[in-house]
Amino acid sequence: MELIETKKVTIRDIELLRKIGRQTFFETFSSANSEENMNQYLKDGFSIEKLAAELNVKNAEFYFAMLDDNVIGYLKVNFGASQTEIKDDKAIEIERIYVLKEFHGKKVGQILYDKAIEVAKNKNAEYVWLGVWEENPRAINFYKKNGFVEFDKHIFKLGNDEQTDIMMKLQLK
Amino acid sequence: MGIIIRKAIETDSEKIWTLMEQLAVFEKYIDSFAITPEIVKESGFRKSPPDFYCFVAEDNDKIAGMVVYYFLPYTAQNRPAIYMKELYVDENYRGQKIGEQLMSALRKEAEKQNCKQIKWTVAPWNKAGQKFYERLGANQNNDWLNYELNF
Repeated sequence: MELIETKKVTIRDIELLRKIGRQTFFETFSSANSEENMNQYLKDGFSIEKLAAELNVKNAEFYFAMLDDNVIGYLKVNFGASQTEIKDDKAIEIERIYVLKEFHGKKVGQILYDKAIEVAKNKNAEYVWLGVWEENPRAINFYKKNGFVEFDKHIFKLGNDEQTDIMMKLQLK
Repeated sequence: MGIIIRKAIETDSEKIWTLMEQLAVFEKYIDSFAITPEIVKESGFRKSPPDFYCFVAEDNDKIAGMVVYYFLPYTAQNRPAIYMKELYVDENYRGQKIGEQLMSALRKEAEKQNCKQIKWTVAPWNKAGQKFYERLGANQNNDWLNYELNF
């Protein structure tokens, strides 16, 4: 059987998390960024130490999308003080939803997104927010289709490069 | 990729409704069938918590089959159970073990949610259905009678 399902990530899954994190990041951003900046981010952003810290922190959860025994995507949500910005107790941040390119168009992103909304509703969050790179139209359209609206812009650094994130949110109540 | 089993999402609503309608014809309650695609969308995907849950079997954007279920949160065993409301495979997709795969996804979900049991009913004339369930290891419950009050 080929079953797509979500599974909460624990510290025992850290190697799998590193693998899917690196691969999806590379597939998403490598064409538009310098090799040097990419390598730096892949090295620092997905080190075992950093991922272990992220997994151990309270108020953050990772979920895998699994196709049978294979990890094909993942989700990271943050609440409370673990949010990268805003840090509003009434909010939840979707920090990442990534799906392997091979599985794009199979509704995997939507399944991970639905999981994030389920988590948000269980936590009684009033709204969900996220930042998305302005040169990632696929992601922007995805969130718009799910009812998110733009409310701000933020600058972040990839290596030496300054990039713009579009901030979007969805009111739940 | 062949057939994939996954949780249903909002954009499946229309196709799920089509299968629900086909099932209503097959099980002979089409005269009282009051569901619309909009109702499927609202009750299954917009409401929180939803009125039903659903897995679908997908074949490249086509929905080949579905299983619709609810949770029974409180039982004497102090474990939740699942009530399977509908299991249906599109006629064009019969004979490909899709029903088995949907049942096995439901079983996995039941275990994940700490359920002790999946229960359902089947029409007495639906011999193929009964054979299918027995092949999966399910047993007919002869201990209890089904009652209902209608308004």
